[in-house]
Amino acid sequence: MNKKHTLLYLLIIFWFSLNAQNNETEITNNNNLQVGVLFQKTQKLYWENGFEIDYTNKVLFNKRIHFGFDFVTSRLGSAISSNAIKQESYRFNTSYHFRNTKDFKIVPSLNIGYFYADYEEEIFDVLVNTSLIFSGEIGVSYSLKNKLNVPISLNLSTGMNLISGNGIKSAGTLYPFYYQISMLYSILK
Amino acid sequence: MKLLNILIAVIIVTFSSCTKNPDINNTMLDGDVVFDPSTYNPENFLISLSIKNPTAEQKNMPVFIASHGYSATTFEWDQFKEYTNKKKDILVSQVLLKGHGTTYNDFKKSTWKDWKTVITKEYNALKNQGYKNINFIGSSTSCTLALQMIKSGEMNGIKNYFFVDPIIIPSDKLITIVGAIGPMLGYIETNLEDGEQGKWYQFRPQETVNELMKLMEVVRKDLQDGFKLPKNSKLKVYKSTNDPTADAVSAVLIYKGLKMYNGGNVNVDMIDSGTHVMTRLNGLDKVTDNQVKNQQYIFNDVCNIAKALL
Repeated sequence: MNKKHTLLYLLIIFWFSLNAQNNETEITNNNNLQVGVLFQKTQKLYWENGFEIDYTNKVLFNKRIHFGFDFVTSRLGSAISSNAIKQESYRFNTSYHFRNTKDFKIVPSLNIGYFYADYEEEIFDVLVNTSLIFSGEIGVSYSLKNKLNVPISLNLSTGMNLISGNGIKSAGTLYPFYYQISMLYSILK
Repeated sequence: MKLLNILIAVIIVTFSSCTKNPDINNTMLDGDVVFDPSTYNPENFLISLSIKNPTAEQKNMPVFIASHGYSATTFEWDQFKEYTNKKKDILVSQVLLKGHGTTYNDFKKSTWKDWKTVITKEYNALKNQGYKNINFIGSSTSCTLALQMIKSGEMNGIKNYFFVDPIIIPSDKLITIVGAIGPMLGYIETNLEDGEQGKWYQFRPQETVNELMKLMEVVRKDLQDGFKLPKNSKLKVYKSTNDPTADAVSAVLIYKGLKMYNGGNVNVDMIDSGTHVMTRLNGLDKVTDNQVKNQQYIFNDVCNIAKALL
């Protein structure tokens, strides 16, 4: 897969989110569902990109608590046309949005999930290539709704994997520190 | 005012940590008394010095440049030298990486580019003396240095590269932030077993840990882009599956990123072991039968491969 295909893939995800917004009837403004693209750089390792889904509801402390899911893979990052290891992270997360009525929010979150690395060759089947993910993040979120009248938020965060791989008990390419940037579009608001 | 006091306290603690020096005594390699024996008698370790005018027979014998890992000394390949001495048909040249085997301050000042200079120096000397079957055997960081030298074309005439527990990815991932926290730590102390005292630096300056990280980063990116061995060179990796120092996934990166000149795969042998540098058992408090078996297998295998070319 080359870089053009990746860009196309990410644009398709974004387009679906826009399309969904057009097709969905607004059910209630109690709910807020956002989807979008997520870019992740691990400290001293790979770019891993993918998508993110974020949901909140008024009953969740007036939308202060959010639940979400994200998926990132090096197949859409460093492993494109290179020998980087193909690896995926699947994470469920819970976050708390401070200043949730403002454009600029501070967002700590906790993630739990699963990590998988594909070593491809049979000779490496003896190595552990999976891991539980348990990580914490702190970030900021900026809503463009009031400024530009578009239901988009931009998010920056940094995180730490509390379980990082040592190659013996868990996969060796799960590194401790990472940085993320994401752009989310509200399809239910 | 309270905030200002806290800020001043943080600055004092940070700067006092920066200037912290390790408590070195005279029994340590780090001090000014104990040095690697190759610094006194290099002719006992380097073939280029011990055999100044090799015979035609010697020129055709396999000669190994044996290179040790980060913070270690020539001691790491003593057992291989002893093994080959019994065979009489193989020569081993033990190099001492620059900045190693002398003092903490020498080590602190050195960079990864300094470390490798002795390898190319010995290779060029052997080549100029007419040796036709020059091989490289390296452990841990020396493999990383050799990969960088393969990429930059510094040792194109090596027949076989043998890597024992190469490091591209460290097992301890906190090393990835040494650039940020290193200046506050000053150095990292390691626990040496009794038999290892005087053979390894006990204190690792943060500057050198940072150099090691830079080297791994350079080589990891080179492997990510992919490169080839020189024509007529081969490579075999012996990797401990449960290496506590150099993550076993390092072997995956080498296998994926480095190809033979004809595009074929390099040879990787994943060995059931929890030892870092399986070929060095001297100095360990306890040695198991499995460790000895693995060591002898590797010694035997590398010698057979090197001789097979004759």
